[in-house]
Amino acid sequence: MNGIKLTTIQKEQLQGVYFAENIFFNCVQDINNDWFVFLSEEDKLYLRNTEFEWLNSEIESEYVPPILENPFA
Amino acid sequence: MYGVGFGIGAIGATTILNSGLALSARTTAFKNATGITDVTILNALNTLDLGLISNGLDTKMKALYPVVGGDSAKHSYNFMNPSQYQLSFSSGWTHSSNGMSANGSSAYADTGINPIVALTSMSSGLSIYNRTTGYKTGFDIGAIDSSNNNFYGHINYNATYPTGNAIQGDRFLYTSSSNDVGLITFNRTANNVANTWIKGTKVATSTVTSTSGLSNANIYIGAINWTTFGGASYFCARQYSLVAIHNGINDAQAANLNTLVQAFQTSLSRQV
Repeated sequence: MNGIKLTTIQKEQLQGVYFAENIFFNCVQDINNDWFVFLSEEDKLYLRNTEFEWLNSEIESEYVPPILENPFA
Repeated sequence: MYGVGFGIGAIGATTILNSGLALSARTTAFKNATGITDVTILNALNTLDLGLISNGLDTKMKALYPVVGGDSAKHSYNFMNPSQYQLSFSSGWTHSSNGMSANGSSAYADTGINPIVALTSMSSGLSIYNRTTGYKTGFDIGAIDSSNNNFYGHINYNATYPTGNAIQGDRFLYTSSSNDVGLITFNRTANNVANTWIKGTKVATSTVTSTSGLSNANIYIGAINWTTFGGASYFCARQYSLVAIHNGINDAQAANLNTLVQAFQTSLSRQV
């Protein structure tokens, strides 16, 4: 899966911020502890003409999820 | 016993559409909150509501998200009370007429429902209509608080840990689980009675006595709210087309709920 790779500063600017009435940014770390955000097509529509519109122009890169421990162990 | 037979003069009817359909008060309120005008959707909701009422299930529901309308705004509303427990979506959900799809990497929805505040100890449950086949690692709905009080369910996590119920107690599995779609209900009605139903059929029961409390953390959809790990985690990539959070229900009520929900989905041509 591809997503938008963020700097730590960008992540701090986005995390938890609402960009629509009931949608907020949720950023997650990949296997290298780099931050990513994933946007659906609907999310991108909401970002138009906002301070976050720059995200729609970002080139996506491959996201490799972190290895999670077995939650049932 | 399941039954539907109300027409004009339905309980609490307050709106009559141009089509002649008389909407219940609850359907009217949902229509007004969401702005949905599609007659097929409104008819389906109205039929669902009348069925919940006639089967005594409406009073069991704390929240019911019918996931209709095709966008995040409309999908966010709680049919039982549109001004209460509106979903907050993270980025990454895909919404369509078939439901809401989590991305399995970052997407989750916060119901705003904290079990210890809103639900009844040893009598509560989660029902979720899953349209995605196959194994998907992740938790579909629930919470685990810092005291490890469980309140969650997961569907077909993998072959070793398929569909599991952890409603205010230790998780127990539906060991014959393989490809569970449709309405799945995770439920507890006593400290030593917990059941899982799939499409109205009981598939797993636990009689292990639980001494756990209700989880003190908001119920998430599409991931689990695991406070020890900082919140949303174990994201799940499934499509859901109805979610309900309710008081504990029995076998007959679970079967009736499934009948109603399946008819609802069929009328919207998105049944599985």
